[in-house]
Amino acid sequence: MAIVNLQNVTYTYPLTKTPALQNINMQVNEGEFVAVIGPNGAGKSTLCYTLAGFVPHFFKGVITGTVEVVGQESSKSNLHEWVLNVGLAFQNPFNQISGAKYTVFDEIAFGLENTGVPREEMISRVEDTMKLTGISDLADRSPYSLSGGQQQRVALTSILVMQPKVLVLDEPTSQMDPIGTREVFGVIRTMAEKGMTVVLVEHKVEWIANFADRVIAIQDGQILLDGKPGDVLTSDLLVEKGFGISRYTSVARRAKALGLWKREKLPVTLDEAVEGFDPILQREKGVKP
Amino acid sequence: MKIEIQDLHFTYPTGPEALRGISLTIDSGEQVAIVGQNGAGKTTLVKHFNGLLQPTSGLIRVGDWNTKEHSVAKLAKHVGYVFQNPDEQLFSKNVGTEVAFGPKNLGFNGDQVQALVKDALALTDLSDKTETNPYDLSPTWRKMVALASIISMDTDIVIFDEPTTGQDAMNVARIANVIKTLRERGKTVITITHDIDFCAENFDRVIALSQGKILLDGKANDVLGQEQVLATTYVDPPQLTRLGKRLGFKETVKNEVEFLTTLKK
Amino acid sequence: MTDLTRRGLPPQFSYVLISTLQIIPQMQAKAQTILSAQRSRGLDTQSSFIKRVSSLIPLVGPLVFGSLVEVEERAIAIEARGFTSTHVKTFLHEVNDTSADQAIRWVLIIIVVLTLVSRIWLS
Repeated sequence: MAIVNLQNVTYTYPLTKTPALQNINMQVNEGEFVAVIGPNGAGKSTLCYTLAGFVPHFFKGVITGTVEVVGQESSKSNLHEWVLNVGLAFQNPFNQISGAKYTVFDEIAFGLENTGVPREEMISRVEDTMKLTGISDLADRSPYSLSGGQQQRVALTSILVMQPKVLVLDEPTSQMDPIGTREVFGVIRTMAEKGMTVVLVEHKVEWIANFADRVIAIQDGQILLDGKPGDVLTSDLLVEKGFGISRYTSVARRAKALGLWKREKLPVTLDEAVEGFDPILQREKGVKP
Repeated sequence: MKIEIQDLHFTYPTGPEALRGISLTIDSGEQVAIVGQNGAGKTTLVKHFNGLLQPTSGLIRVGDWNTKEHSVAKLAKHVGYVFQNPDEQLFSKNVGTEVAFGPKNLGFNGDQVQALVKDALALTDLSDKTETNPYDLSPTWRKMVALASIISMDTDIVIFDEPTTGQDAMNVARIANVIKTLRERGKTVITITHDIDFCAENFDRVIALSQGKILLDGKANDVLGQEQVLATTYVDPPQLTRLGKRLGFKETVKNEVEFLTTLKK
Repeated sequence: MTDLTRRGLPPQFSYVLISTLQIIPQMQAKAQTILSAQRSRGLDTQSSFIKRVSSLIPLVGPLVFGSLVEVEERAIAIEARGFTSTHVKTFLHEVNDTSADQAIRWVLIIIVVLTLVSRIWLS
């Protein structure tokens, strides 16, 4: 059952000539984990804003086609209703801290205060969601005293506490150090495993390959590829168009050109690469694999 | 132009000791990557190279100059520093003016500035954007403007602070190309980076910092192969290094060429 | 912010006040970084008054432009948390606030804004 349904969506920002999204057709089933890759400027953020309702309600501009999420049509909805169904988090954790609250606990409750959730329910929802994302120990800290990774997890928790049906994440780890990245990916993985529908824009191809159900490649506002991670991330088209690919894929492709890699399928992850290169190594050593 | 550091200690006014006895030498023309977890002291260290920070104790010499005796503006003649966020330096009405700001401050004459700007723009693929307002450009191109505005200063030493954060593959390739050209011109390039693959593919020497001290310092292959030690400062080895280890390679490999060569052996 | 909103101040207004207080230290840090970046490009901040005035643009420019981008993102973030929702708002805390507290808050805001301006000017 498609929880996200974009049909022939074309969108142009105000005062610009070139559409940021061109004829996008995209369906996501409930519980699916879809990763979106593409160069900067490809339309990935615009896609995220469209799913979250900010396009067109916040940014204005011209949109054609249908945007349907959780059975509601974007053109017939209000932004403040829409945000209850779709949660949005993005790159810069600092800009996602409201600034209106002095503690992490209050910060997370902010969205529930705004939407009129009764006090008792508010407290239990905040506590439960903090447990889920592993930040219960940060409850009394000031949001501004936290590390990037901690801040990003607070931002995610603040969105998750509102119990959206779809979680849209626009490069949440781009500004994180390796520890922060690990922390944020951990939360995303937890939510995906719990059955949340996730749309994640990312550059870190190896992680996507391990955890996403599907990968969509976008460039110049159009969808180039849409399929299984193993297929999309090893496609020659990505190389042609200058996308970032995993080093494992890249080195295997070169090995293939040299006649060393005999398999049809190229690896994306470390395990796949080991599996594929090991027999080559044994062969080169003159040992039977 | 050599950088010499002798027993550098530094404590911020507000906190604990950030650098606890760093000694090292960076020779002219070296390409050095500094890695380590956040808080290890990487930025604190490189800020001493152009005088933004002064040692609490210890000595730093850039060429013949003791950094204690010269202002940041003076040291800028020899040390260029590309900050992480381009939006924290861009202010001019167009790209050309922005890129001319640095060399003008350094006292180059009109013709020299023009030549330096032209060269820097060509290197960063910005030649066709000279008249554009930097804030009308996408973040990708604003990054390139920030790079160009330091390259145009033609310093012997260039420092990059996390140059590839948030950049897509094509821009990372552009940045790598800039670094390659700087190397060819004999410049000393020092980078702070979390992107260990980028580090492996572009730098010959790696210094790993941990808690204000040097944990490892040596040739990239030697340092990047020490998985356990690097893990203590939260640095993962590059993808191909890991692959090589899993396949049982005796030598540490750090890029595709080395990997394939070792595979064939 | 709770008490201000409860007293009838539109939430948007009280939000701007409180968030400004919290964000000012971050803006100071940002101003400091901008200063470091421009000094690293040879901007001489230790010279005559005239030079100082003309050196303000490279300092204030990035602060303003950079902030515009961030303000937009922040607006989106709070929108995503239902800030403009038409529901009647509820409150996590029950707060007692005296008019003395309010007065202090106003004074603080003014002090902090002045500090920021003078730091940039004098550094």
